[in-house]
Formats: sequence, C-alpha cells, structure tokens
Amino acid sequence: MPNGADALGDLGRFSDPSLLILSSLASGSKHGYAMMEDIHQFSGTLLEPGTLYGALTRLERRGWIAPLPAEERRRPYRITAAGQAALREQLATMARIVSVAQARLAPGVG
Amino acid sequence: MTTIHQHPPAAAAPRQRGVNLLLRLYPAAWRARYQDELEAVLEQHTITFATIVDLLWGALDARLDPAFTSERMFRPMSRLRASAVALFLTFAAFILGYGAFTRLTDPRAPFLDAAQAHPELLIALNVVADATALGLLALALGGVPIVLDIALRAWRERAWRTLVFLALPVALLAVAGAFGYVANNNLLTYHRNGYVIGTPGDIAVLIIAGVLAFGAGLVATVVVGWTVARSQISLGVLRYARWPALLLTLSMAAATGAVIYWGAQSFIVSRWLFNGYASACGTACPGGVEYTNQIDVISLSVVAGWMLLTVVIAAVYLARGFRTPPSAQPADLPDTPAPAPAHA
Repeated sequence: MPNGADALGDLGRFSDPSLLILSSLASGSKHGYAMMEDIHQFSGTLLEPGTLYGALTRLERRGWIAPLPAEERRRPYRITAAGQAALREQLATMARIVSVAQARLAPGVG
Repeated sequence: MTTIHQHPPAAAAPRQRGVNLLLRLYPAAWRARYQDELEAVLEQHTITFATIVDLLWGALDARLDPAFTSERMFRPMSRLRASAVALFLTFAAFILGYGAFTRLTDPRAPFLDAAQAHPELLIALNVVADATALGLLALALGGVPIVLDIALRAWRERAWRTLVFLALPVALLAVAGAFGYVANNNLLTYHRNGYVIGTPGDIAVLIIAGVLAFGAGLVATVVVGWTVARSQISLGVLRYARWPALLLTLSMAAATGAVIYWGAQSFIVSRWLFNGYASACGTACPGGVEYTNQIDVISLSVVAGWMLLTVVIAAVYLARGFRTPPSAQPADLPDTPAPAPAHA
C-alpha cells in the first residue's frame, strides 16, 4: 500500500469514497449528484451526501480535485494532476493485491 | 460507505426542508463554502434514515475539523486559563469524591463512637471536612475575581449570553438549595440517631433532592467551566488566581491524606466498622453490635483513589500555571486592570 504523506489511505474512513470520487472524475468533471450517480453505476455503491462532501473537502484540501465555477447552485469538480497521480498509485497497489490474491486462490496453491 | 439501492430523485418536500435544517449543524465556515451545492445534491437525492445519519455524522466530522471550526470556539487558551479551568473541574470531581466519602460514613454515630475510643480518627474526620471547606474558600477566592472579570467585560460588551451563562448556575443552585432546605425541615422524617427513616415519601423526596442537587451541580460546573474557557480574562486576575489555586490543591491533598489515614487507621483499630468484620469486637463494640458492618473496604478504596487522582491532576495543572512565563500568553488576551485582586 502506498504509505507516503500523499497516500489515499491517509484519508482514513474517507479513503474508499475518495477512491471512488477520483475514479469518477477521471472521466471528466462532474457535480456532486452526477458523481453519486456515476459511482453507483460503475461500483454499485451509493455514497450518501454527507460522506460525499466529507471526502470532497479532503480531496480539495489536498489539491487532488479542484472546484470549477458553479452552475446555478451545482458546482462541478475536476481531478488535478496530483489527483491523477494519487489515483494511479492507489490503483497500482490494488492491482498488486488482486494479482497476489488471485495467484494464491489458484488451484493447487496453499 | 454503504452499498444500497439507488432511489429515484424526489421532488422538494417538507422533509427536504427538514433535512436542509440539518445542515445548520455544520460549522459556519463549512456552510459558507459547501451548503449551496450540498442542498442542490439533497434536492435530487431521496432522503432516507441513512441520509440523515450520514449528514449528522458529516456535521460532527466537520465540527471536529480544525479547518472549519470557528476561531471563537477553539480560540487558543492561555496556559493560565487552561490551568484555572482544569483546576476548577478537578475540584468539582474532588467534591464528588468527598460527597461519596460522607455518604460512606453516614449515619455518623458508629464512626463517632469509634472516634471516641481513638481520638486520631476524629481528628482525621475533622481534617477531611475542614480541608474541604478550606478548598471551597480557596475556590471562591480565586474563582470570584475571574467570574467578576468575565461578567464586567461581558456587561461592557453587551454580551448577554455570557451573563446568562454566569447567572444560570447561581439560579440552579438556589433552586436545589431551597428544595434541600424545605425537604430537611418539612418533608423528611428523621430517626433519633440522625438518619432518614425511609418512608416512601422520604424516598421520593430524597430522589428529587438528589437529582436536583446532582443536576444543578453538574450543569453549574459545565457551564462555568465552558464560560471561563471561552472568555477573555485579564492576565492579572489569572496570575493572582494561582495563589488560591495553590491553597485549593493543598486543601485537596490534606483532605485526601486524611481520608487515606482515617481508612487505614480505622481498619487497624476499629475493624468492626468494616463489612465482613462484624466479629472483630462483638458486643464490645462501642455503641453495640447494631453499628457493625458499616463500610465497604472496596468502596472506600475507590473513593480514596478517586480523590488521590484529582489531587495529582490538580498538582499537574497548578505546576503548569506557575511555570507559564508571561511571554507565553496568546496575543488575544488583553491585560486589562483586574477588578478585584491587588496582587495582579
């Protein structure tokens, strides 16, 4: 797992929602409700608004996402270069975990 | 994060407005930045019980986030002010221990009988009571100037809420005290040995008095501690208050030492006072066997330990107060002339 100062895991209980949000924004900027719908579509997880905004505040503070001008009352967010780097690092870690776990689950192992 | 079925977007409804009210639980700084957009999300989202819990949890999370907490709420306390608040709260905890000790030694008759045979026990009991009274005096000596300083400043600045906070404990304690007086003189029936007989009416009155006294004491302690912690106080008053605080801590230490000595000495010379040692003296007990089995060793140990803990904590904060150089005070603490003490 990434253990640097800028690892997603440092976000505590918001690390999983943050991963989902960064993944959602990787395909383009979105406002809050659009993120919730997109995340539900690709992961089956419905983030409640309180959790969504708890994670958004942390991601914005770290500079991993940035707010765009509000459209009426809805404010879109975009992923930053630092956010893309953090997401890539996290996905690489997860890919290693998946690879190891699959190998260990393979017939004849263990 | 929970995995639940998505709900269709709901139209604005009274429930929606109720949920929007929940957003008021978030800190002002957070609301200034995110409230509009979160409201827009909530208008499209079907509100469930999970949503409400999630928002409450989010509000608590934001409240604990230093980035969104108002400057007033977490205004840095000077070490002196923090010491004063800590000593006040510690003394309140000590009084709780003292109350438990007096309850353990009530009715007094058997303990006074034991003290008649062993005068050192009477001296120890008197030290417990007198040192605690001295502690209350020290609290008044140090606390009244602080409260006056806060009240005067609040009056000048028309900070009515602060004044209400300062008046509330007085009103609560007055109500509890008045009820206690009436109960003692008119409502309770006493045995000739000094204890309440315990009719159903007595029990009801005692429960009401207990709830009133404990509730008033608890609320008064929290309100005063909170108000002092959030108020600006003249440095002169705080510096002066260290000396009553020293007396307070010494009084607590003396009372606690006397409790420990009294317990140990009683166990040695009047073991019949303790539960499980009724046969220690049999009919030779002063006052007769009806007085045996009065006090529990474990209960007394817990009370003495509690009091000792408060003394240690008080000593730590007292030392912090005395070791604080004037230069360590935050700049927002005005050093205006103190209203009462001359030591400033």
